[in-house]
Amino acid sequence: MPVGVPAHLQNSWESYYMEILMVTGLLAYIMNYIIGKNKNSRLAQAWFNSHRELLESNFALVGDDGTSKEAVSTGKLNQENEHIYNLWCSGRVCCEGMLIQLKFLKRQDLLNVLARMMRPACDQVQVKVTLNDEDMDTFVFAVGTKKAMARLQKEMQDLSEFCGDKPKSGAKYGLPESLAILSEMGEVTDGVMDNKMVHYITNHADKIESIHFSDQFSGPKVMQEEGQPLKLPETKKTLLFTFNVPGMGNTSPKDMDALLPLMNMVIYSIDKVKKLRLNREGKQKADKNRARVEENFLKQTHAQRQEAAQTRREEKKRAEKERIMNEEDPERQRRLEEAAQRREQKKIEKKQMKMKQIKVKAM
Amino acid sequence: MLSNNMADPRRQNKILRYKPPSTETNPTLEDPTPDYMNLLGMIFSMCGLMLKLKWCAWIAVYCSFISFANSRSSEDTKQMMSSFMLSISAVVMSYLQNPQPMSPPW
Repeated sequence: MPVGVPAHLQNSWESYYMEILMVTGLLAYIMNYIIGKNKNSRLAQAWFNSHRELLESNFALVGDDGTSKEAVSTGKLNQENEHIYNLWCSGRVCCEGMLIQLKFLKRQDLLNVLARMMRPACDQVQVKVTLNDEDMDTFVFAVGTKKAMARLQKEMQDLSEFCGDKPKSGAKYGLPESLAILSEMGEVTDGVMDNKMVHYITNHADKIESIHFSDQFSGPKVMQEEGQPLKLPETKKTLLFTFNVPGMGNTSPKDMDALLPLMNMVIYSIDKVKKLRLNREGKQKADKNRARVEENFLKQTHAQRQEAAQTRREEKKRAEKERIMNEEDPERQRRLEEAAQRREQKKIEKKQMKMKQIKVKAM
Repeated sequence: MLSNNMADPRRQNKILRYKPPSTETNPTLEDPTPDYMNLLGMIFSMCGLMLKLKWCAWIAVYCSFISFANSRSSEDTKQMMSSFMLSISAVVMSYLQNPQPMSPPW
């Protein structure tokens, strides 16, 4: 090496091999991003093309992003990011609307692609149908793979409250062994699992992850913060379907056609749920269940609500005392104190009156 | 003309507009990856700049790429751009101050 040449010019390109590796890695990442994003986009389009006719013949509005002034079908999917697409359909009898989410694998993220080589996963299509009050009677029901049922029973607010028994094997109702059922009562299962549903589910069991019908749907259980009284979660009558796209990740656009019969099943379910009504006994049981859940909830939170009310009262008192203390004019201070004392006295008298009244009534 | 024997189930008057689901009610549904990666990227960038560690800066570049790949369409591109710029400037600064090649950790 010639003397006097600065150090960084002495190094040949070969010594920068780590840097070259880094840049190559980045280029690979970018290439994978482009390829993956395009693949997901093609899969989404293929899904929409094969389902478009069915959806357009069932819904007045197919495709909406909520931003346009007029309620006009956009006729295309909303892209949430490079692996999630959604489609909103509305304007049909027996339901409020249907949100379809195409949850593809993160093919655009090389890290995810590598992780999936060790733990295979598949693309999913999730269909959520929201119903009006008159579109569904009161029941909670779910059917799906054993693993999914076990997981949902733990995670979902309504399934854990209303379907407490262990998932029953689907074989009892003519379904494959691999599927299990969670139900609020036997009558519901008999009602939902008619011949056509059993037929649909059996023929496409490999693509069904879970099917969840509920009038008390409020999503997964929410983690309660310490000492915060919770209101009963808001519920919505919902039908939730989660389908697995065949191919376990190695999906091609033509695999999307295989999902079409499942969408037929969804439409069939919407009409079926509208007609499914519990008999008198079943309705009584269902009403009792709902009343029981509400009561339990109120009992559990009773202590918390009492505590919260107590703290609120104490806070008020303290704030008032502080105000009086901070009052600089001694004359006003004295008057405020007297006023506060009088209020306290009145409250005590009122309480005593109430107690007397209760005693008289008891006698 | 044959009439459709199945009644048309579509109802124009029953149309409901799409409302994007509020992420406040269901924080578990949101993917935290882009936010974590963004944060990691910034931390590594700062480490690379302050401690003059080349490998930190490179990791920061990777983090910002990963964050970008996982980001939502609705997300602000300014945030993404700023994290990119920060990580690339970390790499450039590390090499300007010390043009020696990076030594492998082994």
